[in-house]
Amino acid sequence: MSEQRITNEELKVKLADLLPGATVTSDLAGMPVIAVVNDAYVAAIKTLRDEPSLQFAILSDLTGVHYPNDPQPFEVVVHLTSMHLARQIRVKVRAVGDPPTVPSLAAFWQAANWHEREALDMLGIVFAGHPDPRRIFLEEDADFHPLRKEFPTRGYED
Amino acid sequence: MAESRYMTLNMGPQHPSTHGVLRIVLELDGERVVAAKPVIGYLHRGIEKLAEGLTYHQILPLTDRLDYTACMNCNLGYTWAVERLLGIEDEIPARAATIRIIMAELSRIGGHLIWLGSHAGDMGATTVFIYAFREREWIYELFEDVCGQRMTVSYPRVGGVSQDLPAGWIDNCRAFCKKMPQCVDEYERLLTNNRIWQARTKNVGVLSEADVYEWGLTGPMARGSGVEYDVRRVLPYGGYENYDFLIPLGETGDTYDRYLVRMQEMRQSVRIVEQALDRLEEGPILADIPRIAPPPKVDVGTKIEALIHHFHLVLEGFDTPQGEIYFPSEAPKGELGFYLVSDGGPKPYRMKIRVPSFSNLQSMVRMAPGRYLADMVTLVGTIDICLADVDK
Repeated sequence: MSEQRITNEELKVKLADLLPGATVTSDLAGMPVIAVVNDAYVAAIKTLRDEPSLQFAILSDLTGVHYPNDPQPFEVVVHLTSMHLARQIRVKVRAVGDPPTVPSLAAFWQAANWHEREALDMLGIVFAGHPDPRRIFLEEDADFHPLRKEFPTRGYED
Repeated sequence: MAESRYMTLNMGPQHPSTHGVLRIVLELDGERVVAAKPVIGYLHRGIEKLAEGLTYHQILPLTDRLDYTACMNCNLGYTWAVERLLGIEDEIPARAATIRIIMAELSRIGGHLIWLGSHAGDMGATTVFIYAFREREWIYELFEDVCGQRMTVSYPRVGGVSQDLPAGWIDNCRAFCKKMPQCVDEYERLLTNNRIWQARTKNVGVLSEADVYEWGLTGPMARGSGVEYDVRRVLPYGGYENYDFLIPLGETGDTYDRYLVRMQEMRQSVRIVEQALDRLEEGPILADIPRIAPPPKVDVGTKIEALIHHFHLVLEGFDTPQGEIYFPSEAPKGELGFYLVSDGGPKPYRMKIRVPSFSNLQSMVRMAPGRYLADMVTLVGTIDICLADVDK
């Protein structure tokens, strides 16, 4: 493992340089958070994965969060890991349109396939270009998305 | 309807080797697997949704129900995550931090033993199952002695651990550490040079280093292919940076290599437990933060103030900083991550659990084509899935 010890602050400066147009902030624990607009999402992921000085080559997680009061209520959150830097980062993008849509990362990682199906199933986020857009946990004829905030924890029927 | 020369076969959802309810839709050309599609969700309990309605202390028992073969690792991954959200990682007493390392590694050995017993048993080596469950029983007795529970332990608390080690526990644990490497030798004598075992596992389910990145594999699934990704080393947490241990790696990335990696990991976990036992010092087991950490159990049973305090912390909870964190930890099966989004209240706004089995299981699609039907049992075993972990 070619480990380069880099501080989160140094990494943030580097990310801001490499991703013009993206907003780079920190979370509560100092992990760099990159917010990109829908159109710049795929290009940003490509840079993060392929740039030799970053090498965020592992798609650790991909999920969604529902903010019903926001104009674009669905946010897709991606966690990437770089063995090269021994760091993890978070990339956020808002889904646009109706149904809320975000480009799929399945062309970058096979791993994205199931994570995106889960976000589709749980939140109803559509991933444009996904090779197999089916529900993953719930039955195929379900007409609800349980992790949406309006969905009651007990469900609509017993 | 067009004639297909392939036969479609459902393996599962109730098949003895899938250890849970997993269905794999197989396309078969005679005995050869052409394509395999895992179908999951039979055990989905909506843990992430349930968590949004519970306070942080109330969520803990749900995490037992993720990977129930290694509950302690799931509990700890969660408590560490909440502590990072609260920014109290540095305030955990040394004794509690050391006990947590001991429990995490014992649980890792226990998880690997279940994997070993069932994996070998599935392929006909039933003796290994009996041997592995003998030592697993010892680990569960150690858990039972300390917290009264064998499987769904819910032992850690946000701020420390719920109970101190009882008298004689350390000696019993040391005896286990002394015995365990000999037991691993014993398992290895049954399998490592066994020609049948090698024939069933060598060059079966080969994953290259590129596959590891492509499929997001972690844990022994990554290390078996030579990718040195162990969260304990790459992104240390909970004090792991102070322990001396090796990260076993495979070369060819086949089922046999992953077997060897897990066997070596059990030996390394014993080393970590021994180091932790040496370091164990007297002191408190819960952080002195009354706003967050529950009062000592003995006080809850004897003092009305402590009882009220306990009720208050569990039922009403504590406020958290507004914001979010992601906490990865190394569970026996791979990276267990908790992504917590807080709106400042006592319940998480969103809790996403990145479970290792989910990502690892997907690699079945890559490994199965070209293998014989009988190898499917080997492949399910080598991924080391727990369906409760996959389905959440």
